Amino acid sequence: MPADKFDEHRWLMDKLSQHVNEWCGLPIQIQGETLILEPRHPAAKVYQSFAPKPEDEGEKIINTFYSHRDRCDVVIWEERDGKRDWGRIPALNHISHDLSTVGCSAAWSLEAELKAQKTLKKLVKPHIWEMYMLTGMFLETSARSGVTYIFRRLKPTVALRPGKTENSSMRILCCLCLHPIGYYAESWAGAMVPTDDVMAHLLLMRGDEKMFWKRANQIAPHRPNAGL
Amino acid sequence: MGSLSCLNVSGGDIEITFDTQSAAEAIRAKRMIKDMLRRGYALLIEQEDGTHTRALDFDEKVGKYIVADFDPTIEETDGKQIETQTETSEPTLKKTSRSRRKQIPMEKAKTVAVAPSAGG
Repeated sequence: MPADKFDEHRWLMDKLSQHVNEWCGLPIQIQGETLILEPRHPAAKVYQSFAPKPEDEGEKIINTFYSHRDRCDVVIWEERDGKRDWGRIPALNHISHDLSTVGCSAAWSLEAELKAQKTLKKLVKPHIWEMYMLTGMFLETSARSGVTYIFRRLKPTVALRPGKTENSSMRILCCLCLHPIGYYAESWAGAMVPTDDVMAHLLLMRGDEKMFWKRANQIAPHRPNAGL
Repeated sequence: MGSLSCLNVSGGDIEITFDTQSAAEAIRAKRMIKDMLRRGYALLIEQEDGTHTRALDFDEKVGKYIVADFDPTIEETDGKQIETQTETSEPTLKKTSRSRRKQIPMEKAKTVAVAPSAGG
């Protein structure tokens, strides 16, 4: 008997992934959420066809960019009569990301999360493990670069460096967002369970720090999607 | 005994173990490793000293990972460069000892495979 309505769906996707020989499995598509897959994934085009189509309201978006002065996204659009206009999208907090992430949690099974936690436990020291279980985050400093990272569940990893003087506090370089296989747009939810994402960040940082920075989206700390 | 774990979506992480005694398991593992590298997976190997390194390639004939040979405890970041970099750049590493390679036997390696990233 499935514990929830997605349990059966997850089980089916697990079986299907064995047929398509995809080692990392097939992500769950959630109605109303846009799943963005790594383009080389064999099922990327299939998932793309499931994405919700934007409603045709007549207006066409010309461009969107981030304004550092206004600290928000600016949108330029063209109306039906050809007239162009612009507006700001206020972004003072990350509540929309939080709510989307809660909605996307249906994609994950508790069993998979517990398995991931068991694997993570083997990779970190016992006190670090306790820190992670209690706070959902832990710190580790790279021996190679000297950068300190705060690995967080369901939030981008924060990269920090000490200030120039002894008394100065840590300086945030940026927040690094990365999800193996794919992620749900406008949320912090990845295709994998949250601890798998944390583990991917940790292992890439330890094994190939430069590649970690290359693969991750580097988000400025003041932006809401940095999760600070 | 070597192990290969793969972060997996629906059923949770998968792990296979293998040693030199079981030829069938070793052949299966070799195929998996080669296929994962072909698909762009990052294979992260725990070394004897506890540090991790990424497999650059895999020699299927001898069953050995090929990794970059450097001392991970050596500070490779140029302090001045990191202070002047912008918040969207990556830590700058000196281009030293890049060409050296070493091999790690698969039956002695604990490896975790991470699928290609879609950013975030």
